[in-house]
Amino acid sequence: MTSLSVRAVVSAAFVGAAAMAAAAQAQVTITVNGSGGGLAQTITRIYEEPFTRATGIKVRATAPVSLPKLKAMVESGNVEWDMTELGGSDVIEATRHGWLQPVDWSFVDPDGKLPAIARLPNAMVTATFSTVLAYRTDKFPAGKGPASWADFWNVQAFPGPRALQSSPVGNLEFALLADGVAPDKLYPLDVERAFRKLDQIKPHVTVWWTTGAQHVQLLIDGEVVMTSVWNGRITPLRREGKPVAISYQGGALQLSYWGIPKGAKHPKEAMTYMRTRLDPEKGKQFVSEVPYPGFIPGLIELLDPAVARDLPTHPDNVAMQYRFDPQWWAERRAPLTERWNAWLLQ
Amino acid sequence: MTRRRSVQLALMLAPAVALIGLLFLYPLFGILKLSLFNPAFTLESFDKLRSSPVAALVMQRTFLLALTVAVLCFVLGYPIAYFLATMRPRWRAFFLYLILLPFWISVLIRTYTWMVLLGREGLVNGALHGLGITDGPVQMLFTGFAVHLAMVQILMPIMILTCFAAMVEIDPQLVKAARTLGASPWKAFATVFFPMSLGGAAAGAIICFILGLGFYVTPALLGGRRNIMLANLIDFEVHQTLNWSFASVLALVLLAATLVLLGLFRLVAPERRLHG
Amino acid sequence: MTRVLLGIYFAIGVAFLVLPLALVVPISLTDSQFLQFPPQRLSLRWYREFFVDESWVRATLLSLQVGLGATAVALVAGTLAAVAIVRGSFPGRRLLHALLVAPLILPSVIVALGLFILFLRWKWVDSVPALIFAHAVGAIPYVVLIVSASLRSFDTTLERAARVLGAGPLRAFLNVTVPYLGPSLFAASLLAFFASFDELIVTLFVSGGLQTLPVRIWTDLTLRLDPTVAAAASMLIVVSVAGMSIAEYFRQRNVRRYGH
Repeated sequence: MTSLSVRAVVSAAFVGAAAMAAAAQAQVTITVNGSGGGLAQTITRIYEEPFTRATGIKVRATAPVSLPKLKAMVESGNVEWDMTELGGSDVIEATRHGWLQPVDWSFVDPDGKLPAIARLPNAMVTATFSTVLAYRTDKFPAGKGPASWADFWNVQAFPGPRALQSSPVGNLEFALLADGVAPDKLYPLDVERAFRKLDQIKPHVTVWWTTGAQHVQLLIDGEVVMTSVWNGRITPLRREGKPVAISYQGGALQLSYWGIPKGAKHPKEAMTYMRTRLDPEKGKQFVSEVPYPGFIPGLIELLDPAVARDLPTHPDNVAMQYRFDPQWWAERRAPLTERWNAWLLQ
Repeated sequence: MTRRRSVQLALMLAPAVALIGLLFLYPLFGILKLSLFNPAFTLESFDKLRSSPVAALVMQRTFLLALTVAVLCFVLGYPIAYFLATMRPRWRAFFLYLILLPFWISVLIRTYTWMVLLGREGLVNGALHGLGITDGPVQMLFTGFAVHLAMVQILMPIMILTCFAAMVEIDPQLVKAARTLGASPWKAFATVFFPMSLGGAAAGAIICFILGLGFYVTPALLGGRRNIMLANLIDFEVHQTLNWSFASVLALVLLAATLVLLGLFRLVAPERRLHG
Repeated sequence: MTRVLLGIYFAIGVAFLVLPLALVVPISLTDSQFLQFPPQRLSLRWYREFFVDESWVRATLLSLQVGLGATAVALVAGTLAAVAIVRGSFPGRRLLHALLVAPLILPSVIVALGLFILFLRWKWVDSVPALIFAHAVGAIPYVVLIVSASLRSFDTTLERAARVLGAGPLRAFLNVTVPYLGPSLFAASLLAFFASFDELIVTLFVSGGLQTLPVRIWTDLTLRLDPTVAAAASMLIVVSVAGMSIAEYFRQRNVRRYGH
């Protein structure tokens, strides 16, 4: 490229961006916080862009989901987010501290289409997902990949570097499952036993991931041969033909919510955007790309069985997973996080 | 006249004093205040400093890591500075320029280059494997080794520059005189040149040590979660656990360590001004 | 013999310092989703991605805006202060000089935390002007150091000669000293600009939702690694090297002209 054309590209890009910025000032922009990554692009295409075309309300997506950031915003009065994704224990803690404002259900879902489990006074279930074991299929003999957390811990039979999330939440459960605890007998967790089991795997975990996009990248780059992942991150990679697979055995079935922070600048617009998640057609489109089904009635019936098979809510998959207990975690997260950090550094 | 002159002086100083006072000194005071009030006066955060195993470990590691990096910069950088100082002037300008080049590129980018190079399927592993030195990929990224390597590479130009500045001021005639009096080249170097350059070299190592203590980007990106430093812990306390009072105490520890080392710097090189 | 060994070591050392940066540029020219060396097929794909992606362009524009603002603030405040410190005699001028240079040596996380607490209280988070002033704090040391060093080596007899020839103090300063300082001021503004343009830690703490280019790179590096970052990094490397070479050229020219 000649320097002249480089300059032309640069100036064209700058002029374009300036024009966009000027246009944006004329309308409302809501900031919706989510967990980022490839998922964000799918959401942009299926939900945000049609929404902006229909209502003129622009959507700015930020990441990652962070409860402490929510606290800082609400307490300082500088609320950047108009809506944020929240995990199960996040909602419990945020409700306890009063960081969320009530959802106007008569506006969002006037016909009462959503089942009761999806309608909290101050949050709406947008998705179900599962933290599961993922691995590189090309690093193991065909059909002989790790199938459970016991296999994840078995470094003789399944050699190679591993990754886990840098958080005690979930990992304590996985350790106990690997140690032979029955999925329905997990809670209350035997914390000491879990840490003892984690001591065994620690030397083989080369990365402790912190965000949802990172673990996928680690797997693709070959930095690790197996890791815990959020199930939906793997589906698009498989569609692209990447050598990765997941096992639902011992996965953690969880709910994900949308809540509106207290003091948000555009709550009405945020609730208008919430309504888009009730559309089963869009739900179908979304789930066929990212297997995080919400509780839209009639959704499963709309789906191709092959897509339904990949969902964490499929009956076969439900049977293999354990039911994550957010209540147990909400009360113990802070001290266990402190202990986790100390353990990680030792 | 003198009154007019002092008014003029005050006006000239006002913008800089306002900037530094308001956005540098005052925030430091804010950190001090926050470490003692939460919101009422309390020593709770200072107690936590003593009782928290995480803080103790991270402080100890940060100190050790910065010290190791400073020593490595000294040992590895000194010969480079020496060669540069004794080189023909025409080449010297070119190499000085080359060595200082990375210095103007952000630490973020320089750390990123190591992420690219050190991965399991990265360039270094590829080269090691291709040369038959290793059979499989070696874990380098997300290790303490990666953090050490990158920090040495990032800080060494400063070491070389400080060392070099002290070396070019040594009169070459002195070394020649020692040689004429019958000293071997090694002996002339060890008894004349080295002691005279030691002040500058030590000053460079201390600057590396100080800058190393405050590293944030490099350990966060190259160290995995297991090699965090004090700055990362402060960040964690601010953004994750939201214990801003404790974060302030940790910042004060870092500040105190920096000031002590600056005092040491003055002792080693009383005539040298920072970056002067 | 020792000299040859030392020379070899020197070459390896310089390569260690410079080569990693040089390697990123070819790596960024890959066509693939993943970073490879050598790249299988050369392509400007990831450069195109950079300019097409609104968030990268917006971040670049914001960084330019903040960088120019911070440079202007630091240049005016720093130059005036440097002249006052070198020329004036008042108590505490050494202390003031040390304070103005201190942000360079103090770990930025400390300043970041202090400003974060302050900006939260003042509701200055998420504001471009606030970010400009925060960056000016980190940029002012460069201006003070370069301008005061240049002033110290300036022969005041020239200025006095102008005074003798009838010029007022301000005129003598503007006509004699400022042209002399010109190249130093230019070099100082370049360094101040890069100090702001590259700033990450303070920005991460106080910028709220604003994304400067380094923050954009940072989120990409902690979230995912795609070759767009390599393209962005390569462009930053080229721009930094060009900027520094220009600054160096002006410094050299000044040295030749005034013989310092």
